[in-house]
Amino acid sequence: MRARELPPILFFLSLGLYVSWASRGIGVGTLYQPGPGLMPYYLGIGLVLLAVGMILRMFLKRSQEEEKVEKRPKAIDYPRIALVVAALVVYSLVIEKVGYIVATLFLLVILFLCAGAKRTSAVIASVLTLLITYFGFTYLGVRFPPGILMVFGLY
Amino acid sequence: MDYVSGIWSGFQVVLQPGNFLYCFLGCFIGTLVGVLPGIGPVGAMSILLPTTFGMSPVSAIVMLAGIYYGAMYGGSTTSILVNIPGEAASVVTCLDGYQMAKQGRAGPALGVAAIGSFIGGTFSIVALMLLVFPLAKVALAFGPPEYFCIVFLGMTLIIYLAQGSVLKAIAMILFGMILSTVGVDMVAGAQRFTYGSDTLQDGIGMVPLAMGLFGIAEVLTNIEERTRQDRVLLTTKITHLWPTVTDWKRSLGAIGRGSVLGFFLGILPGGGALIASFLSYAVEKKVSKHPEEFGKGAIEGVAGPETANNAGAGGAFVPLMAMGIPSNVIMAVLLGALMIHGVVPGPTFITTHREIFWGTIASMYIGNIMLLVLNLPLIGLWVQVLKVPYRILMPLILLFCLIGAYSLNNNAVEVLIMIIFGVVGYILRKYEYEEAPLVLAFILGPMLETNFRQSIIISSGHLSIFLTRPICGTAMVLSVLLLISSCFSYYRKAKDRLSQ
Repeated sequence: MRARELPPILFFLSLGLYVSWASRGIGVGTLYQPGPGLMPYYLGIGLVLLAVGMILRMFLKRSQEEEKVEKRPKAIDYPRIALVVAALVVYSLVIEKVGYIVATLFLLVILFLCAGAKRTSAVIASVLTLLITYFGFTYLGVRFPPGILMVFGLY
Repeated sequence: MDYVSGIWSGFQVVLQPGNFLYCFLGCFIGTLVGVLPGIGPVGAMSILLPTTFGMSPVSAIVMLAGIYYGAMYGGSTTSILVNIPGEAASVVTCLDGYQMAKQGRAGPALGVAAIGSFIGGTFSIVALMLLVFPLAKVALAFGPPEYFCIVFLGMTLIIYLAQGSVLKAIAMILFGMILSTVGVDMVAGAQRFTYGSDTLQDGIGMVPLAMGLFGIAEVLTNIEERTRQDRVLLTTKITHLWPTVTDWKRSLGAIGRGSVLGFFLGILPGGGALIASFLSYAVEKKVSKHPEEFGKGAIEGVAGPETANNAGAGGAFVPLMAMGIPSNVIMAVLLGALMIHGVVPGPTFITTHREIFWGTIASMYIGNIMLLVLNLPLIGLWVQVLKVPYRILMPLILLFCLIGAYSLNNNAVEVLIMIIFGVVGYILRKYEYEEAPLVLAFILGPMLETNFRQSIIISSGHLSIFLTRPICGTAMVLSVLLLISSCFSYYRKAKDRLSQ
């Protein structure tokens, strides 16, 4: 295990600490008379112990690992990933207010552009995808939020 | 039990036009997701789960099961023609399948993969049919302590069979179990980690979790490279799909061994098609008179794993149908689908829901024949599908995930939950943590907790209940042995690394 693996271990450590602390408020009970917080309490402790073990192991092995030449990581397009994730989060926050048609059209254009499509192709592909999915899924019984189209009496 | 009348009634159910169409749709979609890298059977089943709400339970299960075993068939096509596995269980097929294709023998490779899949799939259906009844009869005598110990054994097996690091697998299991505690506690009715959210009162949904971890995370992994390499599709014409006599001679043993191995590994929790295919490859290499040919286009290297992954797909249904315990993530999605339709699998499932059980079994027979037709004469169609560029697929996969998550309960919060787990899954992938133990623990966690607490109530607080009952004692001893074995293997690997 290398030092670069520390972030997920710290995440598990914090999660374990929080869960075991919060479980005490729910009511842990005893092993012989378990309360609703018993399972998360012990799971949290288990996660803390595991994370501590992983950290100890990492530091013990570090001296040997340092001698090894680390493989050069490949170039990752983080801005593109961030843009896709941001678009998805915004979509989930506005879909009920704006409605499926408007929100999905904007989202699809962004996604097609992120995927490398040209501007005109992205718009055409988005409109086509939107129409097909809208009518297809409505036929299958899925109810989409009307959003602002209802305000204009278009739904 | 009268198997003949049972299977006959099953065929009557599945040959009804509606069910037959859903069986075909499942097989078709399964082959499609198997062929297309970027979306696996779990993602496809999760996305399509909400569309099954309007169907009868039989139609829903027939379609979802078709996606599962269809994907096992389709996965071999990309492995052989593009050297990219369509789904995880076909990874090992790349080794010899692609080499065969490069030597101009793509036809026999695809042919033996489809025929092996058919034989393995059919064998597993017969074995499933014969094994479920005695197992369910035994399971009728199970109480909460037995269920607790069996689920505990299942969790231990997940650790034992983990592909990568044991510590990482344990971390993912604990993480999955913690996530499963969110919501209203089933025994005491107390709220746990809900933070006043109505959505979280029902717990974190299995579908948003699975779609996030398997669908969104997969897309994010695929778009991370600035200059993504295009798939190199072999342009040679695919001919001679039917293997030659020599090919048959070399493949028959591999198909036989793959069928048996795949089926029994499929039953094990955490096992399933993936481990079955890898182990089958190792076995074939070991028993072969020409082990040096493996990796250079040995047909046994395609026949064995492809048979095993389909047989494993059938084997995975055994614990679900006999005891209501899912042995892998896909079975967990199926369990979720059954429960949404008001059907609770367990020992009485095969008698109280005869129509669903026999309908599913019969649909698997018919589905296997459909897949043979879809994968051999129509191979050209799937080759064309492979040419669809990822810039078109990526937005479509994401949109289907969003629609799938939203349409579950018409709730945008579940879409947000799915996106969060997509990001979490992507980050965990970067650090080589597997998602499968997390999802399985998420499903098995509530079973473990409820049965533990019920057992403690039954025994008036005595933990000895988990050791004094024969099944419990056996399961616990096996669990301890497996844990010791895992620790020993981990220690040995660490020691070897240090000495190097």
